[in-house]
Amino acid sequence: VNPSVDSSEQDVAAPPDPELSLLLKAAGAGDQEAWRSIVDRYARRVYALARSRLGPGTSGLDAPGDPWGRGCDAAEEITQSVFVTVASKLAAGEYTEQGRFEPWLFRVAMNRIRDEGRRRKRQAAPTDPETLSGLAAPSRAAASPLADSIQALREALGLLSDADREIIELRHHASLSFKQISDLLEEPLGTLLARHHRALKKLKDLLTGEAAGEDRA
Amino acid sequence: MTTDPAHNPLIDALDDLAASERDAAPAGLTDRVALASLPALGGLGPTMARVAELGALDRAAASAGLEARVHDASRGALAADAPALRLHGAAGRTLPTRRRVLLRPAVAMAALLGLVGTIAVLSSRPSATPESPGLAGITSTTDLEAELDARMSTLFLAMQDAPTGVDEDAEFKPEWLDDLSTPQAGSRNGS
Repeated sequence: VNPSVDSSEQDVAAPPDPELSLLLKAAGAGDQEAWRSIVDRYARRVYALARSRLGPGTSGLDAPGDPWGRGCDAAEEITQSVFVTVASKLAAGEYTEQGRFEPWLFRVAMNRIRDEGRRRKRQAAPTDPETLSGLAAPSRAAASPLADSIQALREALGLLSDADREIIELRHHASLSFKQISDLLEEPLGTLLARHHRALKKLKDLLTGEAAGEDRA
Repeated sequence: MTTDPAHNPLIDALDDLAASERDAAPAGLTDRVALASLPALGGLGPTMARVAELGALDRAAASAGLEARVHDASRGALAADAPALRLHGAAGRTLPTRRRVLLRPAVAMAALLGLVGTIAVLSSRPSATPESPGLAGITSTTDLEAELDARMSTLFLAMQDAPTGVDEDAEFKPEWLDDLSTPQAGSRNGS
């Protein structure tokens, strides 16, 4: 695996999407169909980013009858919150589409995700080990080879630094172009490409290192 | 999904991982997201608008009843059992204690109609000797908080039994709660 081949320079500069511009304009004017189209386009990408950053959710780990709904999937909560914010800004005329909707949308998402991460750190509480083992056992038994490899990759991703992980998740989970990530993170494109390359290299090293460890075992 | 003409296995695996995260989205996600953000867009349909209107009316009615009951119940309970915590803002009196009492929102009071209020009290002079019989023996913030928890429980129980009819004099004013969160210089008047 050579991570350097994924520069994907051809999508570095994404052209403006005229259809998106029309949808945003219509949605801002209260067109519910247009808004629905925007949600259909982006909700799952925002969800995937949030889910990857925060983990698969906490639905099985919280106490039954939790009145505050912490057991709900945090990624969906964040996704809804992001789109409420975006809808508010569009309706108030606080966003003018200039070909940068996606970086803006995912910047809002990243801010929400960081807020949630900070909230979790503040409220971190020990979980009953029996609860965890009860959850893990069935999924491991039912896992397919593909699921295993995805899980291994997910775990390796979790071992990267936050900065390395961020750029990979924005690129793949959020499906942003490098130009869009550059806008979002306000970093030069060349720096970003180099960071992505290094992050992939580290990820590859983690995966091969894990494989070597398993061989030894 | 991101396309990668070089078919880098690691990139392909990352795209598979990203796809699995997107596929993990629960059923109806986009419906719920779209619906949740419609009010922000100012575009509720007639049915949802009616639901929201009814919800607002219910909340207003619940709030009015709750406020009346909170005041009525707390006035009686405080007069009988907790003179040091009397709502000085309501009665125009200072707190009947030498202690400088800091009152702050901390204890959530789940009310009959599902609303939540918060009232709590903290002491700021642990070394002072409380003169109020209600606070006798309390020498630390922890003691005070425990005592307040107990009293707020009493308050809450009293709220449930409180009459709903309220005369003009008993009308609740939200600023009373503001007064509770404001540190007040203590009075030597023990009444």
